[in-house]
Parts: sequence; C-alpha cells; structure tokens
Amino acid sequence: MKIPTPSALHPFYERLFMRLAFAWVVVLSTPSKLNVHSLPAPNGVARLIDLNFLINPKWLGVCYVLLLIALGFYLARVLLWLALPIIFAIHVAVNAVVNSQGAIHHAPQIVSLVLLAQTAACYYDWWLRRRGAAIECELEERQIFWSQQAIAATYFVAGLTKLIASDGAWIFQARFIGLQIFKTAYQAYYNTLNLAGLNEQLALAQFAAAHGVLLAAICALGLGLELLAPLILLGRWWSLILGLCLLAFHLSIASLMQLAFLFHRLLLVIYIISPIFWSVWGAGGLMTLRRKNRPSPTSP
Amino acid sequence: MSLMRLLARWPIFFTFTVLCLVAQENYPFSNFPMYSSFAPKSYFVYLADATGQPLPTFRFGLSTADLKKVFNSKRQPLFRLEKGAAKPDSATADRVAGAEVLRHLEKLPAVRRQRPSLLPGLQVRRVDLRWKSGRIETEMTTIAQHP
Repeated sequence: MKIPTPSALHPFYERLFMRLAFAWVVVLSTPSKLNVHSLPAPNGVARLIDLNFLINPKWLGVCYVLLLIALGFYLARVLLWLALPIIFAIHVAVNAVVNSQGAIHHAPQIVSLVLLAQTAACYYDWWLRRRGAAIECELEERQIFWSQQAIAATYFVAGLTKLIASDGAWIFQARFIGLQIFKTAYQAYYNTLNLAGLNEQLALAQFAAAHGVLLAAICALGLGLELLAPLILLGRWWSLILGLCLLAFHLSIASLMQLAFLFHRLLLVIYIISPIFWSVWGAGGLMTLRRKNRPSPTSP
Repeated sequence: MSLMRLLARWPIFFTFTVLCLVAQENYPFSNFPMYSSFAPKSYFVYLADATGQPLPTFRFGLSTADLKKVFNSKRQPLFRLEKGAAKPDSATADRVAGAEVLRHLEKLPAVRRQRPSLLPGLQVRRVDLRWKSGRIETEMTTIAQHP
C-alpha cells in the first residue's frame, strides 16, 4: 500500500492552532512579576538599552497589558507589522532583565528567536510587495517555515557548541555526566526540601558514574539528534520523526537531570510535530480506506 | 541541493546559527553552552539557617541552580587579575563570593517581604563533588554566614 504524501502547506485549522498555541507560549514565557532589585550583570539588549524601568511593577504591568493587546492583534492577524515588533520587544526586554541577574537561563531564548523569525518574515513580505516582486508563498506559510528554521538553529547551535567547547571530545567527557545528575538531583531537592525521588536520582547518578561508557553512548545519540535537527526542514515526515525523537530526548533529560526545557518542548509540538495536522490527516486516510473497502451496492 | 540554494531556502537557519555562535550569551541570542563540557568535578551551593538546617531556595525567590550561577558570577571576576596582582586562593574567593551572594539575597524583593527575616545567621554552603574511580564523593563547606 502506498502512503500518500502529506501536503507541505498548512491548512487553516493547523495555522489557527499554531497561532493560539504560540501566543500562549509567549504569555507563559514572559514573567508578569520579577523578583529583582536591579540589573547587576546586564546581558544582551540590557547592555544596549537601560531596562531598569522594568523593575518597577507598574511599568512591567503596562508592558504586560501591551503584550496581551498585541497578541490579540497577532491572533486576528491584524496590523502584524506593528503587533509583532511590540511582542518581540517586550518579550526580549523582560527576559533580558531576568537574564541580567548573574544567572543566565536558557529557556526563553527559543521563543524570542521564533518571534524574531516571524517579525523578519513579516517585514520581508512587506519588502517583496513594495518591490513588486513575485510572492512565492503566503505570509503565514513563510512565518511557519522561518519559525521552524529558528527552532532547528537552536538545536544545531547547541550541538556545535558542545563540539567547540570540548574540542570535539564531548562524547568522551560525557562519562562524567553522573556528577551532573547528582548535582541536579540535590539542586532540585534544595529548591523545596522535598525528598521525593532524591534517593532514586542519587542511585541513578552513582550508576551513571560507574557505567560511563554506556552513558557516553546515550549522550552521543543526543548530540547526533541536535546536529541532525536541520533535517526537520526537509518536510512533514522528517519533521514528525525528528520532532518526536527530540521530544523523547527532552523527556529523558527532564527525568534524568531535572531540566524541563518546557518552551523547547512546546515549540516542538506546535511547529515541528504538529499533532493536530497528523490526527486530521490520519483520520482522513482511514475514512478513505474504509470507503474503498466498502462493498459496492451493485456488486453481487 | 547546492549550498547557495540551501542558503536561499533556509535563510533564518543559517543567519541564526551564525548569530548565536558569534553573539554567544547575549539575550535573545545564546550559543546554549549548558553541559557543553564535563569535568570529573563539580559543585553546587545551598542555603542553611543559623543552626545549619537547610532552607528551601524557592523561599528566596530563586532556584538552587540560579543560586550557583549568582555565586559563580561573583566568584569568577575575582580571578580576572590586573598584571602583577596576587591570585586569590580558592577558599578566599569562595568566602568573598559567598558574602556577595548574601548581599545579593538581602536586596531581593522576595526576601525583603518575609517576616521574620530569613537573613540573620543565614549560611551559604558549598558542596564539592568529585568523580573518583566510578564513584561520586562529596565534601561540604560553609563559606559565608550572615551576621
């Protein structure tokens, strides 16, 4: 039986789901309250622009309301040229303040980069139209594909950095990962002093320390997945398979090392795996198959 | 597919890859260096009250991982020395950075709101982890205490 090729284009219901889900991720990844008193170690845009005003809860509240209004326009796809830069600027500014406390987090960058990609797509489309150039695809299709490229880039960069920082010896060093499991288990315990799961994590860490070669082999799979991430840009099937592998990779990291990477996981589901598309596509395929197998009323 | 066609087809992928690698840790860009290299030793930092009982770091409005990052950001500059200056020993650097962490905590809104104060006698403790012949060994030191 030949499996039909799914369309590379995104039907309306899928685009609507992507819009709604991404807006929700933007809200989730923009803190509405900050536990900061200053910017002791300005990072990124906080080095270029004085973001101290965001420490004031009133200004932060104003920005948050502005963000929600702009997201409303984003959902309705009205005044995107204005709404997207506002969403991007507020998301970057608030998270830059969070990252200017001497502790860099690696959770919200991927959301900011997807926002940047969507903003760039919007302005590229406007530029093409102004020049009277041929428009190859609809703006929202371009935004989706550029968002997928931003996601692929974050994984690819993480893989490259591992090779660069370890002089190519990352897989050999990975035998010491047991220490990191041990450390993150204790760090999770000291967050709340909740003992649940601590002993199991420590036992796992000691097992990892004693079986370094096995752990290095598992880590090599993870590194391979990061370096292969650009393949998600080759089409629906590649996206589905690699997206599911990356999601499984995140889930195993979350259970081993207490690193949630929630926004990475959500963006994988929204833009790469796209379960809503595959559910509809699968259901459609099943119905076609049933229709074909149904006996014809004229047959004896 | 030639490289030029790939560049034209995946402009954001290539641009963001280069920008993230060049800009490194500059929000919104990052080269995502977490766990990019491993060593046979590591450490973490936690907080304890005056009697030495551990305190949940979330009560201070941050995570234990953040606490270590703050500690590290105070400690690392101590080793960036001007020419001819004496390098501080590791224990001294820990003490200075630990005291800086306490000063950082004093100013946090989540800490200032709490009554009774969490600060008197608050200890910053460092736990060193070492990988030795397939076993993990630990050693705890109190590096700073709030008056």
